[in-house]
This record gives sequence, structure tokens and C-alpha cells, in this order.
Amino acid sequence: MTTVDVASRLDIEDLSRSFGETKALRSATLRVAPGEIHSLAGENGSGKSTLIKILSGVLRPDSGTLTWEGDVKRHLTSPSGAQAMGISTVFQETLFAPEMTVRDNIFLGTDGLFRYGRRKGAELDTARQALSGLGLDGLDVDRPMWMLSLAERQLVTIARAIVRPWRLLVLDESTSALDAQQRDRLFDYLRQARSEGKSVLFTSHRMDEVLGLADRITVLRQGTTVTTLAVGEASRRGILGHMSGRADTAGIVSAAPAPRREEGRPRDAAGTLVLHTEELTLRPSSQPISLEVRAGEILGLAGLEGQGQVEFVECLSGLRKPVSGQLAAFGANGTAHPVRSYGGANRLGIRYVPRDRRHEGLFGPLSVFDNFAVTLWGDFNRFGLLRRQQVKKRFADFAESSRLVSASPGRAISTLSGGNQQKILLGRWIAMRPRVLVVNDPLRGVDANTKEELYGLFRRLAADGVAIIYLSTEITELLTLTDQVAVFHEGSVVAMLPSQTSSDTDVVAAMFGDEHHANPQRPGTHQAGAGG
Amino acid sequence: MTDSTPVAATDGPPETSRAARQPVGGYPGNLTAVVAANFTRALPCILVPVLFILSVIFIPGYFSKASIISLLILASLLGLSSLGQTMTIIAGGIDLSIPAVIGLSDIIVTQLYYQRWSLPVIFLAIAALAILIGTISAVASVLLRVHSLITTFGMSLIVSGVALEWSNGATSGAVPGWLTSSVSAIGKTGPVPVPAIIFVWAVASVLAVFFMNRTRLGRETYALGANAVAARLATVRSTWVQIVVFSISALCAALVGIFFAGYSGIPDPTVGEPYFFLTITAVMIGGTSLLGGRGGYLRTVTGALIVAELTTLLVGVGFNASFQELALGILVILLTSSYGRELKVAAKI
Amino acid sequence: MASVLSGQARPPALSSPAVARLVRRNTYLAVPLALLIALFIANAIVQPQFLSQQSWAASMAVLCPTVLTAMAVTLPILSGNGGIDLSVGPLAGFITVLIAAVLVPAGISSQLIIPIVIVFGLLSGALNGVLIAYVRLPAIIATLGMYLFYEGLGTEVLPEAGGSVPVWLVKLDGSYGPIPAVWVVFAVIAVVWLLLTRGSYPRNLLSVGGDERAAYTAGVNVSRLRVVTYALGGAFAALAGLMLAGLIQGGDGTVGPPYTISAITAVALGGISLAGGRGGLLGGALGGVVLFLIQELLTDAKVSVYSVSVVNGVVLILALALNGTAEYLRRKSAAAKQGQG
Repeated sequence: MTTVDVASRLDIEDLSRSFGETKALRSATLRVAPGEIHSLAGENGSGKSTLIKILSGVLRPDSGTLTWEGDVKRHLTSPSGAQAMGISTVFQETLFAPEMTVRDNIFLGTDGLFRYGRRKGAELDTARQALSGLGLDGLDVDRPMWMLSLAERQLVTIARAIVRPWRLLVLDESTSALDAQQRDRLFDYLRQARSEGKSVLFTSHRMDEVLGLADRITVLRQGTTVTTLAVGEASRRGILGHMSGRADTAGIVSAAPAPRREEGRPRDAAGTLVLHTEELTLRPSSQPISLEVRAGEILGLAGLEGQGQVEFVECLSGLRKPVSGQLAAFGANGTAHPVRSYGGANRLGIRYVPRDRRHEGLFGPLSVFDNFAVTLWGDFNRFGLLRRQQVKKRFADFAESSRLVSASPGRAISTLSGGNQQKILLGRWIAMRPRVLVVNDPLRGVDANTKEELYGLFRRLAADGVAIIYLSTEITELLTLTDQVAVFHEGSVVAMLPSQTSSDTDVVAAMFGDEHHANPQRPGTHQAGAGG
Repeated sequence: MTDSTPVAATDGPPETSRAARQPVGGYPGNLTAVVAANFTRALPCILVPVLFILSVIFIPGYFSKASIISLLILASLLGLSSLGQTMTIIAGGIDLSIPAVIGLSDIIVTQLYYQRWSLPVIFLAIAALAILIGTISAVASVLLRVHSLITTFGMSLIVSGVALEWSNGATSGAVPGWLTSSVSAIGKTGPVPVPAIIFVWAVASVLAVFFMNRTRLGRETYALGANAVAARLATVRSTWVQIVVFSISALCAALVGIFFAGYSGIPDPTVGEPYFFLTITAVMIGGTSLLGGRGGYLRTVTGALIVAELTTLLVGVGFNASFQELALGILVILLTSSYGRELKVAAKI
Repeated sequence: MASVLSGQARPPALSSPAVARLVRRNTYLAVPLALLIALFIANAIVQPQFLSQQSWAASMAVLCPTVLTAMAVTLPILSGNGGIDLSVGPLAGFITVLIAAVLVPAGISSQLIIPIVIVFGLLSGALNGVLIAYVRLPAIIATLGMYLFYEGLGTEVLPEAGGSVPVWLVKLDGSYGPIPAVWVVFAVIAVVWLLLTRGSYPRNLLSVGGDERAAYTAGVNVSRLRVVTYALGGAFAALAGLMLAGLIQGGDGTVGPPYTISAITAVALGGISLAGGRGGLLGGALGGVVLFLIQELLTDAKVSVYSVSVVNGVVLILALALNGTAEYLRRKSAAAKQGQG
């Protein structure tokens, strides 16, 4: 049975979508043909997930057109609307109801609110068929989902997508938990579907998957479609170059690296050791990470979504326990203290700035001053009575050093721009004079000017001897600001790139697990901070 | 209120609800600027004199020292009961055990005094009991991961049961004379012809405002109610804050129970019952949001005055407790609808 | 990898997959069932009359509002995301007022009373659902507002308990001829229960409660499901009100509110997680029976009325603690399981 009866499966033209000040998609264009496997490639922040959410009916675009099999649509109404049209999506985050059985999760959403007469036999067969097609023969479909392994759960969510009648299957990083064998089975299934005229759109953080599976690749960068290539005409370097913005129209990667950080930064004196990880393992299947962080050093962390860098940062700040390995912080006199908890990490001078400022950082109803001072009251009180003057001084100092737009500190924090809000959130921790500052994508969604001001702030902090662990999704930022970049791939550090001499493409290559192009030092014991 | 897990990191549009744009309650600013700042905050303050004028017009003989004092006594009782409630609400919870603690305290004072216990000991015992009750409510709420509405409701069942049991059949009790005069319209405090309860309220108000603005715990209370997740990350002592505010709430309720004992002299465990919803009313009308993180006790003071005036004004016209309660129900829904609302499912993905 | 292959080395007793499935789905009923049996025996010991036919019928009639309000609260709680309905008690109380002070005096015929009451409950619940799913108020606040509204409205319309109810309603703790009236009620409840639990609704409800994002992206209309859930809860509460009106033989706006807290206690006793996604209506009903038996035991043991209140409060906190511990243990074992992947 073939379904090749339309000229074009999906046609997206000039799609845009913003969230407040952040423009997630500027002008995205995508054409998926029938009988094609199409890859959507891009770094973090390229707009991939936003595009996929629009495709699956979760979000509506601000502008642009979407043509499905010849029908022009302004937007898809809802996930069930998308499914009714024939678009099945498997999201990056494995979504499932833990208490419900495999079978119930597979057929979730296929019946209305009060549908009776469920054909159990036919359902069972369909489910079993789908699962065995994915390599899960013999899985008891009446097991509750919470009993399954990560890979099994992911395969069940894929099964959920494929048991519905679909003509376009969207897979967002859907192989992240699968082993090689399961992946091959999946790819066989996809190729079979392709031969029947169906279309597949997928994203992946593994370059070999992209090149091995896709017919064509559309590269997104900062919300805009950069190019669409047929796999035959695309070289690895070319694709990576397009993603990092270093390629010109001929796909040639430019050799010149991005502008470097200011000269005169004291880099020769290796500062004292402040943090040390010993065989730290983030996941059962990942390589142990051993590295040292010294005072005054800025260590960058890079990687595509979900590759372990956030887990690493959470381990460093005591929010998460690693699967195995040790993490120790060093006091001024050189004694080692293990980091066991969030409170403990704080007491050792390790301060963590969370990524999601809206949910993990900001106190919406409170004033600018309150948002800043919340961490300081612990140190600045006399028997519980606040020493306001001293905290106000800290605030004034910080406002000056970060060039905060001078406004009455009594204003509600919500009146500030995103950039200024972020300054306050950073200030909250910086004002505590940390030994180690761990920041998780601090300048995401912040305007260019504020970024410059904050880069200056970070550099001054490092010059003062603060060690900074800097996780960012923007490669240029990492290369300009940090001394070294540790690139994460599948829970391990696959490369330690010296920022001075590495290019964007090198980093992107490492992010995709591509060892041909990175100038890496092989992972193992890294001496971060000496020489660089 | 509901401790939601951190959601995916899409930085959505910044919060621009009306309430969020208002300057924070409790952060000092100069008087005119604050009043001019926004209407919603000023409205309760305007209502107080307006209602008073209306009362004078519609109720003959209202403009007399006796009725004003009575009004203030009523407001003091309500204001003191609502003191702790304000704090628990700002912290993101609520205390439904206030009426029960009022009743228990009333019983204890009348009975023990009748049995000739010494007053300092009685007060100490009541205070200790109140702190115990508050602590259990707070700890239960944290450990059981359940909203304090439910745990305080459970505590109120226990406390009122104990109070009823204790007072079972008892119709006589005694209170010291000065206590009675402290809540009487003709009472005096020293040379001043004003009953002591009003001074107590004034002092308590100052202390409450001071606590919320000038102590570490006070600011941590606001943080906890504003964003429980961010509070934990910002090293706020969440559990300790809850223990303290629920204990304060119970202590205030106990204090009010003592005053009630002075009012009537006989043991009445049900004396606090109207306060079940009246404290919430005073807090909400004053402008503190049930969602937590905003407001302050000064607002509740205005709220208590307004409720006291409304009760006096409307009772004559037939708007009794039932009507007030149903109006409060509608008010709760309307007011909260205009503040922060929860995220759509789609925004959480 | 902990992949499970079916049909291998299963003990003979569980070799039937249908039985295994049934057991697995209903493990949450283990605690309430154990409590039920224990309390049953305790009651029989303390008060031998307990088992007599006559006291049966009376007991069961009194039991109904507790069980029905428990079921009313169960549905919103199962829907997860902080779902709860505090207004079930006052709504039931208001229904007694509605019947005794509005419908009967207005001469509404007996046949119409039941449908009117049910529809009222459905609409009230639907309003809750809309406030929670579309206006997106926190459930606790929205239903607290409705709690206050109904308690106020009930006592406003009927300041003193009174009014009259149709005769057939009053005979609820007696019999219609040879059949104990409660059996009729139970039959009705059973039919409703069957209708609700046989189709796709429970699956959808528990999935939304398990992870609403999973349900949403899979195509479930989460908001509509929530509105329907609260509406059904309202209908159960209205039914409870109907029974209450028969039991107190009139209307009384103050009799409803205690049922809210007893309903929540019953849900906790029924092994249902307050976080949602796990459990069923049966759990709520059983929890209600357990709570009732506790109260019966106390009454039979001649424990003072006031101590019953204390015990109710203690039972609530203990039930929540029990629930919380169970949650904690299950979360730990689920995390351990995941670590193996």
C-alpha cells in the first residue's frame, strides 16, 4: 500500500514564533516530500523544538503558512487535530503515564472520553505487532510503565505514534535512550515506511544517524532556515559549518575563528585548586569524568540538549547525586570537603544560578531589591534583624559593577527587562562572594548589550579568583568567554577544547560525537586551567 | 500554594498581571507615592472612612464614643485573629484552625482561672499549647506533602474536640476583672478611657509589620509564598518559616480566645466559629492575595476595619454572617481570577 | 535491562493473565480492604447488634452520604495536578436546603426532584471544572470559594433547619415493602459505577492524573476531561445531599461542611494518592466505609461525641501519613527500577 498521492507532504513557509522578548523562530522554511526521510538539524536555540511543537499542534505560530498535502492551514488546532491530519509526533521528553499499562499508554488519546466496547483482542494484536516491529518482542503489554527501562519507555512512546494512521512521523531525539540494535530496528521500520510513501521528519544529536538515515537535511540556525541539502551533496563539515554559521553558500567552512576575548587576562598563574571530580559518572552507560577546576578559571560546558551537561552542573551544585564517583571542594587552606547536598555545596562557597529564571529564580510578586537580597539575609542579620544598610550597599555595588539600569529597587521585578532580571538573579549569588559560581545558561534570552555588560562582569569575577563553571547553549559565547570548553555527548565529556584556538565548527562537531573534526584532547583525566 | 515541580525551560512571556506590577506590600516607600501608585491598594483605605460616614448617616446615634469604641473592639478581635492568618497566607498556605484555637484558649482561661491557677502560668500554658498546635500543623503539612488547608482543618477537628470535651457540661468559669474591662466599651487602660485590647492590637500591628519587613524570617515568608521552588534554591529555610508563621497564627488565636473569655466570662468553645471565614475575608479585602507572596499586615488592618464596619452597617439591613460568607466565596474566585493563573498544559511541555 | 517476558516461570495461581491484571490494577485497595475487615470484626465484637438485619439497613443509610461524598472527591483528586473539590460537603448541605425549602414548597412533583438535584450537581461541578481547567485557578482556591458560597447560601436560604421532604425520601433508612430502601440506592450507585468504569473514561482520567502532558500530546482533551470530572463529582455530591435530606428529614445548611473533610479522609484511607493518577472510585467508596466503621466503633464503645471529632482529625492526619509513606516507598522503588535502564 502506498500513500504517494500528493505532490508535497508538508510545506512550511516563513514560520515565526516568539515568547515574550525571545524570538524562537524567525523565518523557518521546510519542505517534506512524500516518501522521504528528512532531517531537521541545528544547535540549541535554533528553533527545532519550537518548530516541532507547532507541527504537532501544541503551539501556534505567530505568522507564516503551513501547507499539509496541498491544504493551506494557518495552524494546527491541537495535538489530536494534528493526529487526525496524519501527523504523529514523538517528543524529545519521553512522556507517559507511569501507573498505566504499556497498552494503555500506546492507545492513549485514541478514544474519546466515554467510548465503550473496546476491542481488546484487535488492540492487543496491533500493539504487539508495533512493539515487535521496534524490537520489543514479548514485552508484557499489561505491565505498568513505571516498571520499564528507559529504552523500553521510549520505544513505547514511539509505538504510540505509529499505531495511529500516520503519513508524517516526527521524531525529536527519539533514539536517545536506545541501544544500537534497537536503533537499527527502528531505522528499518522507517525505511520500510518510506518505501510505502510515508514521510519522516527527525532530529538527532548523532551525525552518523543524520547522514545515514536522511534523504535531505534542513539546517536551522537561530530560528531561520539556513539551507536544505540532499544528503549526497552534503559533507559532514559542510553541515556542521551551516549549523555553526561558519559556512558560506558553497558550504565551505571558514577557517577564521571568532573574535577572542580581551588580552591581558592573567592566565599563566595556575590558581589554587577549588573543585575536583574523581571518576564522576552521570549515567550508567557514560564515561567517568575526572577534572580539576582552579580559582580564576572559566570552564565552559557545551552539548546538545540532554547530553549530560545539565546533570553535571546539578552534581556540582549538590542538587543531584552522580551514579558513581566523587566530587570535592577545596577550602582556602587546601583541605578537601566532599559535596553531599545543596546546602552543603552552598556552605562550601559553591553557588548555583539555575537556568529557568521564571520558575527557579524569580520571585514574581517581589521587588527588585527583595529578589536580590533573598540570599543575603542569612549572612546579614543580627539575631534575625536585618542589616539593611549593608545589603543596600551590596546592591549598590552590584548595580554599579553590572551597569544595572538605575531604577528604584522598590520596583516590582516584573517591570524589568529580561536582561536586567537576569542581572539581579546573578547578583543574588555573586553578592555572596562565591568561591565557585556555577551558571546554567545565564544569558539565554538576554539582549546583546546586557550580554556584553555581563561578560565583563564574569571576567572581573574570574580575575578576582572566582572559579566559574559556565554552561551555555551558545558556542560563540563559550569560545569568547571561557578558557576551555568541555563538550558533552551521551553523558560523557568527549572533548576538552581550548577556547583560544578552537572554532565553532570544532565544538559543533564534538557535540555531534564527531571526532574527525574536533581538535580534542582525548577524554580522561583533564587538567583544567593550566596553560589552556 | 501547590508545590508544582519545575517545568521545562521555555522562558515564557514575563508575568505582567496587574498585581505583579504593583509595588510590593511591606516595602517602605513614601506615603503619597504609595497611595498614588495604584488604585487597588488605595481602595481599601478609602473604604474605611467612607463606610464610617455611611454608618453615621444610616445608623442613628452612631457617632458616639461608645459605638466607635465598640467598632474598634470588634476590629481588634478580628484584626488579631487575622494577624497570623495574613502571614500563613503570604507564605502560601492558610490556617483553618484559628476558630478552634480561639475556643480552646477561651475554655482554658475560664476553667483554670476558676480553679485558681495563677495567671502567668495559665498564659504560659496556653502559649506553649498554641506553639505546639502550630508546629504540628506546619510539620504535618511539610512531611505529608499536603496543603496546610487540609492539615490545619484536621488540627481544628482535634483541637475543637478537645475543647468541647474539656468544657463538657461546664457552665461556669471565671476571668479576672481587668480582662473583662480590656474588651469592654467602657473599659480603661490606666488613665486613658480606651479598652486595653485596642492598644494590644496597635502594638501587635507594629510588631507584625516590623517582623514582616525587618526580619530575615519575614522576608523568607514572602519568598516562600512567591515561589516555593526558587525559595528552596535560594537557601530559604522553608520548613522553619512555616513552623514560625503557623505558631504565630495559633498564638494570636489563643490571645483572641483570652480576650473572648474576658468578653463573656463563661466557657464557650464555639466562640471562634464565625472567625473561620472572617479572617480570610479581612485578609482578602485588605488586598493580600490568597496565592501568596504579596500583601502585608497593614492591609489586613484596613481589611479588619472594613469588615467590622460592614458587619455593623449591614447587620441592621439583614446582611448577616451567611450572606457575608457567600459573598466571600464569590470574592475569592473573582479576585484570584485577576491575579496569577496557572499555566496551560501546552506551556508545560 | 529489566525487560519482562510473559509466560515464563509464573506461579500457577497467577498464570491467568486476566487475574494478574486485575490484581495489579487494584493493589491500591490492599490497605482499605485490610482496614475494612479489621474494623468489621472490631465492630461485631464491641456491639453484637451490629450484625442484625435492622441495624444494617439503618447503618447503610447513614453510610451513604459519607461514601457518596468520598466518591465525589475521588474523581477530581484522580485527575491530578492538585485537583480536589472542597465544595462537596457544602453542596450536599445546600441540596438538602434546596429540596426542603425550595422544591417541595414550590410543589415540584416528586419525580422531578431527583433529576433536578442531579442536574444541579452536574452544573455546579462543571462550574468548578471550568474555573480550574479554563480560568486555571488553583483547585484549592476555586473550590474553597465554592465551599464558602454554598455554606453561606445554604444558611442564608434556610437559617434554621427545617422544611419538609417527600415521604419516599424519608423512608430511605427503612424499606419499600420487603426490600431495604438502601439496596435501591446501592443498585443505582452500582449502575453508575459500572457505566463510569467500563468505558474509556477511567483510562483517560488516570492518564491525565499520571502525566497531563503525556495525555495532552497523545491527543486527550485534558480541559474537557477535567470539566466532566468535576461535573461528575458534583453529581455524586448532589446524590449525597439527596440522601442526607432523607436522613435528617428536612433541610439544614450546616450539616454539609463536615462531609468535606470526611470525604478527604476517606480518600486517603482508600489508598488513593492525593497527587492523582492512581486509584479508583472503589477506593473512595471503601475509604468511606472504613471511616464510617471507625465512627461506628467509637459510638458503640460509648466514646464521647467530642472525642469522635478528635479521632476524625487524628485519622485524617494518620491516613495522610500512611499515604505519604506509601508514595515515598513507591517512588523510591520506581527510581531504582529506572536506574537499571
